[in-house]
Amino acid sequence: MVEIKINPKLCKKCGWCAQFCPKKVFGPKGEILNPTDCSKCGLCQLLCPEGAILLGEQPREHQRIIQSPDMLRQMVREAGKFGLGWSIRRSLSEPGPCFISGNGACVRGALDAGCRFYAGYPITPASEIMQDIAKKFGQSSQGVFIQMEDEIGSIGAVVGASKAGAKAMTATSGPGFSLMQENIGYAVMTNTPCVIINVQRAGPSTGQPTRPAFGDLMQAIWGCHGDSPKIVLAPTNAQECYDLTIKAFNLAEIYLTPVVILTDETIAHLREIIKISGEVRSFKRTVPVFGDGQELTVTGSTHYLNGLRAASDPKAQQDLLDRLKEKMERIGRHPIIDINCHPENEVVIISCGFTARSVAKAVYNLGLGKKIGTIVIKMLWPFPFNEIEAAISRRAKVIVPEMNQGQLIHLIRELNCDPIPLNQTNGLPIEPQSIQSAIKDCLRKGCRQ
Amino acid sequence: MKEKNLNWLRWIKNGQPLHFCPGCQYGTILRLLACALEKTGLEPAQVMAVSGIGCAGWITDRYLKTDTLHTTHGRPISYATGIKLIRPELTVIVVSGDGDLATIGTNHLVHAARRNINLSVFCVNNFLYGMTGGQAGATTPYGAITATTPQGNPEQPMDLIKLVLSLGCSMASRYPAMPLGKSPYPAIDAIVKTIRHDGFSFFEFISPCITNFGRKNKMPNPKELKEYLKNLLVRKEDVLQITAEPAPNDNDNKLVCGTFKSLIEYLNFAKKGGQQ
Repeated sequence: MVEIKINPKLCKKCGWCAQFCPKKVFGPKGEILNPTDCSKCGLCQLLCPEGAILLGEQPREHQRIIQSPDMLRQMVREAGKFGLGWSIRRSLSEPGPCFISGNGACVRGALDAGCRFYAGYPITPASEIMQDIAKKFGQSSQGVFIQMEDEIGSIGAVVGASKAGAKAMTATSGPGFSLMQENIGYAVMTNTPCVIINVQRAGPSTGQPTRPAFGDLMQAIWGCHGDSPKIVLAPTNAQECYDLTIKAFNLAEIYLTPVVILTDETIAHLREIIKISGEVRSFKRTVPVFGDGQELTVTGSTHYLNGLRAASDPKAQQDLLDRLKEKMERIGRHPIIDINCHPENEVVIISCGFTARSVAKAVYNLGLGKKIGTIVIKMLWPFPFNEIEAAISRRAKVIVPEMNQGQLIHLIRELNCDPIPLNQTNGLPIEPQSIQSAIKDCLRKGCRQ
Repeated sequence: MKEKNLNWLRWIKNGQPLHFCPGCQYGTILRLLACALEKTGLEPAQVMAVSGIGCAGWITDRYLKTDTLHTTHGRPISYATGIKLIRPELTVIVVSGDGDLATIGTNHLVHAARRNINLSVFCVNNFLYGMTGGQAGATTPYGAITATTPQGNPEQPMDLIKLVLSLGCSMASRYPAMPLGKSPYPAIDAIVKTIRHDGFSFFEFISPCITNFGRKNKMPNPKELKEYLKNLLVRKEDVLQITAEPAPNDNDNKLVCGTFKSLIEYLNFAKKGGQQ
């Protein structure tokens, strides 16, 4: 007779054993009635949902402490302070000047930064990025390209590839970006580095696919549900498309977070000369990835430091959000912003994206010297509140020109500087002339009290 | 029996007792998976388990001792695609529910099957949305009473095996998590085949939710549920012996269980079982 043991801690008295047992050993609530009838078939042990039934001697597995990925990350972060992870790579593109569109510059930047995975879905005006990468990855074996069935699949594959150790990116436009939101939040939750380029077009909905706008600013910063902070960059020209894409990959890898790059249709399709230096400083994370044998547990649910779910623990939730917030504060200490201000400024113009170039042209046309100051924000989140507050003089009026109905201005309003909006939503870039007349208007009315 | 001596314990995390309802067979499915993984001769470091949202997502996320990724609702296949492309040497298995893979995430299932990407997808079909309280889904049987279909489900369920086979998938299996017919260890060999298969492979576990589906449809205990499954399911070896004409009533039709390699093969068996 073989010994049948039922672990009372595990048994839920469901009664499946009575249904399976061919010899009717078990009663309807899992009690052992006829142990002598047992034929040692082992079916009960295999099919008991709770694993409560043990038949005779069992092979025992030694309990091992699961290594926590976050603890390893901590160690790696410590090591990162001593310069681990950084390397100087030769850029894949030829050094020197290059005549290229903004989309092309993003591709060059991504490849030079070491991007090895691209998943995408065609969408105007971002399709060129996908086509270029498909061509590049097709010619060499430096990376993997896949065209997914939709943008949700694209960002999913990007997060998966990134978790498996590759630097990964995708590019899309407004409608696709909306579809991606849930899974961008997943990348935030699971500390997954990835780069998402959003080539903005005029919306809402399908809108005007071939026209520029800057209407995704709020969505890029606060689009995902829950508090899910992520880095948002906004280049103003092709050169910055190249530089900031490299920067985006480095930031993503250093801070283990998704990075959104906001360009627009005009930057994406405008061909300009950019300079490629030939050497790229690139960071590669040294945290464990899938397939390293670390038994990583990654979940989008609230989790403890070791990755195990904590779906109803208030402390775990608080700690997790604090960690995310603290990470953003650390990133915010290194803002990317062009400040060209002076205490004698009467007008300060704050802008981002393509509009910054119209602003520069307008200021140049007016030639008013120190009367006009400009601020160009290139890292939109974490938002450089302190830097802007310090730069604006007390008496200067603030103008915020934007290609939307007023999104950047909401952030500026937090600084209590009473900004003046200049919005244009006709699907065209803002002309320098309209900025000039807004500046003149401001100067006529006099300074702030 | 060989299965009795398998060291499946090394594939399971110390997370017991399981978080599933009493009578839920997901624990059995976990053990069948662990046995099959042990039988394939793989090491835990070579396996990557991706799961979605829902009770079935917990099978691997909480309890399987490999690398696990617990993704957003409906998207595990797309995440797995990215992982497989970057680490092709890993054996990537996707374990999730019918609501996850076949309702919200059908698009990814369809395209992964079409691409024939080397994934093993395990769909645990419990006939409804279990974790959210028993709402009807794309696999709820016709006429079944659920939280959102109190008058009986007016929609026809989706045949997942037919779906993936029609897209060129070359290995699709359907088994319950209990003995069917004469073979006592029904699913393990089929799971091993599914994991070893070169190319996209699909496996459907039939395991109705005892709490939500069972209680509402007059089978609150394993005894009635077993009877229901015995009437619903038929092995493909046994279906050939059915001589009676297929009944006009949908509820009398049988789901054919077994491993199928092509749509034509499946349709031949399914027709015998009374499916259109």
